[in-house]
Parts: sequence; C-alpha cells; structure tokens
Amino acid sequence: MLGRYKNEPEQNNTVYQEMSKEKTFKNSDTNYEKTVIGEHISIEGKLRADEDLIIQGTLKGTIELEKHHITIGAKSKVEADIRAESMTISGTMNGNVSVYGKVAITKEADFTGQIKAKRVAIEDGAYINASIEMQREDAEKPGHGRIEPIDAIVIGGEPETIASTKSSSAGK
Amino acid sequence: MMQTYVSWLSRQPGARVLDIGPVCDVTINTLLPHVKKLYLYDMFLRLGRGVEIRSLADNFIHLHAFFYGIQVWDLVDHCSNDEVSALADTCHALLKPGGALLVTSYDEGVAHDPCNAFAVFEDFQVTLKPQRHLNLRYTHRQNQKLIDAMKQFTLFNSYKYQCGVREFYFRKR
Repeated sequence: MLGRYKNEPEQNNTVYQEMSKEKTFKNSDTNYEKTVIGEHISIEGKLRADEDLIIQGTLKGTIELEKHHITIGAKSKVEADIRAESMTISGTMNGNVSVYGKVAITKEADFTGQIKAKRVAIEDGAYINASIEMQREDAEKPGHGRIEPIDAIVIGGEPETIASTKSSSAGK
Repeated sequence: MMQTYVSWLSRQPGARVLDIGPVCDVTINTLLPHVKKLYLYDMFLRLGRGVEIRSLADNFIHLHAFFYGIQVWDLVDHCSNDEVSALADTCHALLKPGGALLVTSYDEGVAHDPCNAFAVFEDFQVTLKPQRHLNLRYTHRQNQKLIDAMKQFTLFNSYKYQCGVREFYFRKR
C-alpha cells in the first residue's frame, strides 16, 4: 500500500507511537501529511519527499526528507543513504544516516552502517553494528544549507547562474 | 576512572572509540561530545544468539591499530578463559599504541543476574541498567586472574565501587 494520510495516527505502528511520541503529539493538532510505503512495495532509486515518510516495505537507494521524520518500520528492509530531520529505525537497515535531530533505534531494529545525528536513543536489545558521529550544534540545518550555484536559468535570452540555498523554499 | 578515561579521549584529536556492549544510549550521548566517532558492536547480543567472540575480530579486521579507546564493560564475566584470551588479543590488535582499554567486572557475591548495561551520565556517575533480554553464563575471576588475562596490556589504574563493580583501566604498550 502506498498511501497518504491526513491527521491519522499510525495505529498499528507501535514504534511510531512509542519512540516518536513527541513527534506524534506535535503533529496531531496540525495539518501534516505522511506517506506510507506499504509492506508489499519494493522501491529502488532516489526518493525525495517534503513530508513525513513511513517505510514498511523494501527500499534500496537514497532518501532525502530534509525537514521531516522518516520511520523504518519493523518489517521493512532498507539499504539506503538517508538524510532527514529525525528518524526512527525498527526494521532491517544497512546504510548511512545523516540526521539533524534525533535518531531513535528500537529493539526490533537490525542496523548496520553509519549514523550522524545530534542525539541517539537506542532501545535495549537493538542489534547494531554502527559508527556514530555527533551532528555538532554549528552544523548546517537541512534545508538551510550553504549557498551554492544551481542550474542556469535564462533571463533576457542569456544564461545566468544564480545562487540559492538548497532549501525547498528557494525561489519563493 | 570514567572521567579520567573520557578526559584522556577528549584530548586525542579525532578519537575513535569502540563500545562492545551492552549498548546504552545514555553512555553514547555522554561520550559522543568527547570523541570524533563511536563504534558500536554489541557482543552481548551476539553471544546470546550464539555468535562467537571471534566475530569481533572478523568484523573489524580492516581496522587494526585504529581505536583510541575500547570499552569492554563486563563482557569478560560472560566469557570462558579461551574467549577472554581471544578478546584480549583482538582488543590489542584494534587499539593504537598507547590506547586505552576499559574493563569492568563484578566482584564475587554481587548480583549479576540479569546482565547490566553501564549507563554513564554527563557527570560521569555510573548506573547499572538491567538487560532482561540477556541470559548469559557468568564466570567470576579474581583481580589478579583478570589482570593476567590482559597480559598484553599495562594496568594503568583500577577501582572498586561500593556496589561491587570493579573497573580496570589498561593501556596498550
């Protein structure tokens, strides 16, 4: 199932409820959206989203949700490099994680890879083979990154390179 | 002792540290600001699943003389003599010259069931955190026997807490 929900708590996902209460509560009174990649879905490639993401299926590639939370569900198998605002890992995951906020790893998780985060919460019993590096306070926040050139645009017939942050609000 | 260990690590530029479990997030978040990178390989969970101690050497085979510090906590209490010997050899190979090896062990008569994780708080207070999912055998070793088992290392310092937890701080020659 690949679905989008509005204001609907994830009833069957204890991980989401237990490890991300703060996030759930914060979002329950706002109009937030999340995407669920269901148990029988398999994706390979690059995934970029501007809303929370829950993976219950299989995914191989790269994921970017720079201002949002990603949940790797208990039955999922993920082999990916991930950038996100915060993250909960409950399934089997192999890859590199770069998170501005907190990474929560539950006891159901089997994680192999590298983590860069400001804080980690690891439930007793989580199966881990990882290296962890602290995301320092002065690190650039996702979505508010360094200024760098983006694709040339045409103004008055001549190409011109402009500068912008990599933020999704660029161009507003 | 913990403060000495962390203080030394924080003075090493780019310090890489290995924690072989039980993994405890309190300890991780205490250590992270003081080190460059913290490596986690929970040997307790692996022993519980029948994975042999030599998997540690196999997993880090490419990282010889790589770590500034290794935390063994009370893993030696759950290993046979041969396993302790293999563990000491592995830690010796993985540590840089002058690197620190922190070993804890329960004194005789101290309740050790269930296994405990060592939660190190920001003020370096150590609290035991029961790991009820772990059910590992226990072998008590006297101080000298434990020090002898780590014969590749030099004993830098040792300390016994009132609760009966013994801490041994070794250095690689």
